[in-house]
Amino acid sequence: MAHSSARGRLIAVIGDEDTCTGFLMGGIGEVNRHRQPNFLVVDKATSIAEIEDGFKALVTRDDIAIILINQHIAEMIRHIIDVYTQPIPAVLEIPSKEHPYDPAKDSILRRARGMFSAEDLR
Amino acid sequence: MEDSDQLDKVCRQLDQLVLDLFNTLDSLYSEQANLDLQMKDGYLQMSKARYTMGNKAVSSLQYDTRNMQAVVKVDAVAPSVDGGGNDYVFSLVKCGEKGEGIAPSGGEGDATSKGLRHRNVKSENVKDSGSSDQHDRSKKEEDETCELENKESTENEKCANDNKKKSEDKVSSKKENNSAVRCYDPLKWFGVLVPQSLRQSQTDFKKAIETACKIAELRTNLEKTRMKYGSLLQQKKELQAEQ
Repeated sequence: MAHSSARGRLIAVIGDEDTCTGFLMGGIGEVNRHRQPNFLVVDKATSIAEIEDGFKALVTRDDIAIILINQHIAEMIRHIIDVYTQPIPAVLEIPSKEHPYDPAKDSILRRARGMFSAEDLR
Repeated sequence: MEDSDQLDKVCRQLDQLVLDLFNTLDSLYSEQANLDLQMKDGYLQMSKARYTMGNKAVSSLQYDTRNMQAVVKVDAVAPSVDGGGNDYVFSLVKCGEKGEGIAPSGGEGDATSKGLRHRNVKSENVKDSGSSDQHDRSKKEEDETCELENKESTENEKCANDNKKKSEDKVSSKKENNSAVRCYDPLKWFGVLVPQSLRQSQTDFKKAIETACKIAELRTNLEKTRMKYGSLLQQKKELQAEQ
């Protein structure tokens, strides 16, 4: 019985202003010694390249356990999220104020649905 | 014959995995619905707070990025390495819970507990002195009790001194913990007297964080089940090809 743990990892958030404000009010926000925040506020001016860079930076940090990302923003960088398969940090798609959550777009649920092909069920 | 037995076994395992998968999916969908509701309420309350405080009073400009520290963290524990390191259990660690119930204001609870102990000792003395002054008719009885108390007090003094030393040590260690883990309320970024709706929004988002933690665990379970299913399916195909 192997036991591996990392005590007190962070929850990161990539989202619109309301989502980030809400979750930071919940107490997940942290700016580390290198002045790197664990959140990224995406507005109209934020380019897709910036979101990609922000996501890659959060994924490579070892002090983050969960990344929350608004589903409409995840759609913008779907090509990166689809190939990401690491269990830690876990990427969670969440609804936003204007875009409700759609399970059909969620990468993990799509993968789960793809488990059953017609050939397998014969 | 052995092959067919093994095939049966693999098929049964596959069936069990599919059942597990649907159970996980069921709870995942329900938790996701919970998260939707909590976040929707949070957004609504935040909008209400904006209406009260002004449009720019609740925005990213108010974040205190100079000394921002996470109050809520996550423990990601892998109890076993059977699932190829995919089996993680996520549990929330709140600031107060880490240091054995540290008060969010930083050490007030310990100070009061220490104060209470002193106050009890003093109050007993005060009570004794007060009662001797006020109740003259029961003087004799009190003298007797005082004598008994004096006898006991000599014995108790030693224990009390030891306890005091221990408690002081504990208090000093707790104070060190307090200084290490200081909790603060992010709501204060938006002012000291914030509207109730903003507080409600904070509560909703705190609940959403807890739900997100559960969802993360369910998703890792789902991934683990999916990978196991894939490998078993491959095994089944190989066995079928052999037959």
